This record gives sequence, structure tokens and C-alpha cells, in this order.
Amino acid sequence: MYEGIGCNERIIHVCVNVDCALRGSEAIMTRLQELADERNADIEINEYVCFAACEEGPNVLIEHKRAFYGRVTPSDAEGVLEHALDGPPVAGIDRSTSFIARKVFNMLDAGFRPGDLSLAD
Amino acid sequence: METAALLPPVRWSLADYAGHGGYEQLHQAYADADWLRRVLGCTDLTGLGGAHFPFAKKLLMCQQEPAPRVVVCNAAEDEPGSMKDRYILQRNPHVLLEGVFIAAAALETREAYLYVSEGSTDALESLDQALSELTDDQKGGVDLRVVRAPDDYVAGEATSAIEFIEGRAARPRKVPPFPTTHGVGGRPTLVSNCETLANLPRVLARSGLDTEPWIMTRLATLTGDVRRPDVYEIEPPNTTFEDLITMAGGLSGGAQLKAIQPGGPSTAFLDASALNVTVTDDAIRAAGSQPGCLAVRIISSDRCIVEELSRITEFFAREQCGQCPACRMKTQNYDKIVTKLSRGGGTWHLLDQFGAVDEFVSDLPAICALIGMPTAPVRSALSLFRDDFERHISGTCSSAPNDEGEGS
Repeated sequence: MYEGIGCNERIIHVCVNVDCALRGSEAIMTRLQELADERNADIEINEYVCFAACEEGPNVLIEHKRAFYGRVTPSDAEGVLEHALDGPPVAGIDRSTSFIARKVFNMLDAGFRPGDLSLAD
Repeated sequence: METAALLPPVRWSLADYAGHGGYEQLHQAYADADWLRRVLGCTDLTGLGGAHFPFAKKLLMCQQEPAPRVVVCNAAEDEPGSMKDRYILQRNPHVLLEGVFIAAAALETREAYLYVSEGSTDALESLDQALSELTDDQKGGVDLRVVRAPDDYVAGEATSAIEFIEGRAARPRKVPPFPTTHGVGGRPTLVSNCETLANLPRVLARSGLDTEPWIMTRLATLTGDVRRPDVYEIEPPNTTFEDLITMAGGLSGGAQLKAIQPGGPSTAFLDASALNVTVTDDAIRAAGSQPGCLAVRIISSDRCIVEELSRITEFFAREQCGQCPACRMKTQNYDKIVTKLSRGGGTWHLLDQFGAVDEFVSDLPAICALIGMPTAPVRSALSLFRDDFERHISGTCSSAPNDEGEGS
């Protein structure tokens, strides 16, 4: 399903691994999906396994924007979705200049596609 | 006697063990501390839990620290496919106990722990029975405590053993300081694998008999596609992998040999050309893998290597303890990649992601060795059995995913 996907596709990846899940990432996923559905937005909300930034979670990556957010709450979902749909970045939770985010972006630049790992059909 | 030095065919009681020269070396050790120090200081015995750290060096590191010191026998054996430590405890508990007492004598300590998987109930029973056969005098005043280790993979790590004995969760802790300087209660501690310690009596027995070369037998656990999976005591230089398979009744199912994973799930696969490799540490390394704990898995041509790999990456993804983000990231991403492939959703591009993940974690900290464990099986599978990956990618692999789960 994700074959041939490029960075022009709009995907938000939410880490749902145990640390991020304990910090409430499921609720963030649900909220993002609700908002995307309400707006009929052409955007994928994807579960991802781990960005190795557990202590700063829940972590969210907007792949096509090269944007990385940490300590995200459901109330941030609207701003994150807005950013993914070409709005401005969300102040306060933006960690895009952090060490780990730069590594994540490097991995994307090297061809890593987090969505390729999705088992959803 | 040498061919059954560790594993007699039936369990040895104290009387049986004593009848075979048991506890004689311990008496020598008590009588001559200089001799004990000298002999153990030059043994080439290595850590048989799988890391193969030189025993003499570890002992010396501990001896150089001020008393009081501690001995921990690590028999928390949760390496999939390894049964050797529980076999020693079941069949020859006194050889291990004598080894522990010898180590305690070498460290001039009376504090020792036997850290044994709680799920190894037969081993624990045998150990309790053996301990009850010994008088306080026979224990040389050593206070030997049995600690039941949780049945988790990381619980078998040396620092996890110390954490658990100190009353915390059995998870690895940061080194340095190493257990040899800061172990149980901050005291210098020798943490050694059960099979390693069980070798000490014969290491002492052979000292001074250097006129003839001595072959130290080793325990190999055979699993996978053989008729009689079991623990076998072997003479490594006189045993090839082909001999091992013969001992285990040959390949099951009438198929050909496809691969051998010689040292447990973290070691590289070897292909069928490894049949005539001898089961020595050096020969296994020369062939491109690691001896580990000699948990030898035999894989027949009936099996798909992607499915084998799936079992391995799933294990490490599940058993990582969650303390180090990099380890969680790597083990779980590896497993996602293999799972995707196994379910027929893979691409060649997906396989390149292993490298991207490795690059990502390469400069991130991790406490223990688990983060590196899935690497060798994945890399060797990709280089040796590319056809199996091809079949999964093109959707022509006949080994359909087994959702009921396989018990082996």
C-alpha cells in the first residue's frame, strides 16, 4: 500500500510505543484522526514504533514538513494538523532543531520511510 | 571420565560425586592458597555464558580490590535454545557447588549467591537437595544463598543479577563501574556463568598434569531440525557440526542442511558448508560467526530463513527492557521490517532500512549489549540467503505466516 510513497505524501507519524503510549499518544492519534476526518483532509495518520526520544514523548513526526514535536498533548493536535496542512509550526512543543530530530531527518533523507513499516492494510 | 566430566548420564548425589573424586580439589584449594591463586591465574577458561571474557582476568580484577568480596554464580539461563546450565544443576549440582566454593576460596570470601532462573524448577530442586546434603563444615563456612531470577532475557545480564540481588528490578545497569569493583552492596563481585564455575574443579585437577594435552569438554545445546534436540557434552577439537548433528540423531524430516546458528540467537548464521567446521571457539569465529553459549540451532532446507529471522527479531524486540531509547528504536524497527517482509509486504527498498536504523543508533548510548544482538543474524541472513528474501518479496514463499504461533 505504501509502495512508491514519496515525501510529497502527507503523513503524520505518532509514536505508540510503550513510553509514548503511557504518556497518552493513543489519545493524540485519535484526536488527529478525528480532526483530519472532520476536515476531510488528505492526510495519513500513522502509528510508528519508536524515535528513540522516549523521555521527551509523546513524539510526533510530520514527515513531509521535516517537523518533530515532543511532549505533545491532544490539545496540540489541531495545531499539528494545521502545520501538516501548510500552516505555521506549533510553538512550545517544536523540537525540530533537537539532536534526535536532526537524526530522524537524516534518516528520512537517507530514504527511510516510517510508513513502510506499517502493518495496516 | 573426561567425556562425562560435567554431565553424568544420571544425576550424581554427593556420594556419587565424592566417589568420582568430588571435592578433592576444594580441599587442596583450602590447603594451599598460593597454588590456587597460581593455577586459576593462568587458566585459559573463558566465560561460557557466551561473552568469553577470560576467567583468570576477571578473577584477578576482583582479587585486586579490597575484601570483602562476593561470588555470584549466574545460572539465569534465558537464552532461547540454551539448556546447559540447568542440565548441570539437574545432573551434577555438586560440580557447580565445588566450583563456587573454589571461587569463594580464591576471593577469600564467605558470601556467595546462586542466581538461577525461577522457571528451572528441576534445577532448583536438584540444587536444594544438593545443598541439604552438605554440612556447614563441608561448605567451608560459605553462606550460599539461592536467588530465583525472573525468567526474562535481560535478567541474565551480570549487572541485572546484582541489581536483583540488591532488591531492585533485574535490569542491566551502566558500567563502569564494573561488578568486579562495585558489585553486590558495592563490594567487588565475581559474576560467572554456571558452566564456567563448574569447570574450576577440573582446571585445578589438571594443574601439574601438563605432560599430556588436555581437552576441556563443553556443553552444546542442539535445537531445531534434528531428531534428538538435547544437551551434548563434546570434545570441541574432535567434533564437527556434522558430528553434532549425528549425535542428535541426524536431521529431522529427511531434508538437507540449510543453515547453522552456532551460538544462540544473536550469532551469525553459517551456511551448509559449515558442516565440517570443528566446534571450537576459534574455528567458529574463523567461519564467520561466534560460539556464544553453544546454543546450536540446526536449520533444514524445509525452513525459510525469513521466518527464522522473524523469531529472532521478535525475541529481541520483546525482551529489550526499555531503559535505552536507542535499543528500543533499533530492536523494534528491525522487527517491524522483518514482520512486514514475513507477511509478504516487503520490498527490496525496505531491506535497506536496516542500514538506516543502524546509522541512526550508532552514536546513541546504550547500557548493555542487547542493542547489537539482532545485527549479526540479520546481516548474515541477507548475505547468505538472499533467495529466501526474494521469495518473500515476490510472494512465492511457501512458508505461510503461522498466526497460531510456533512452539519451537
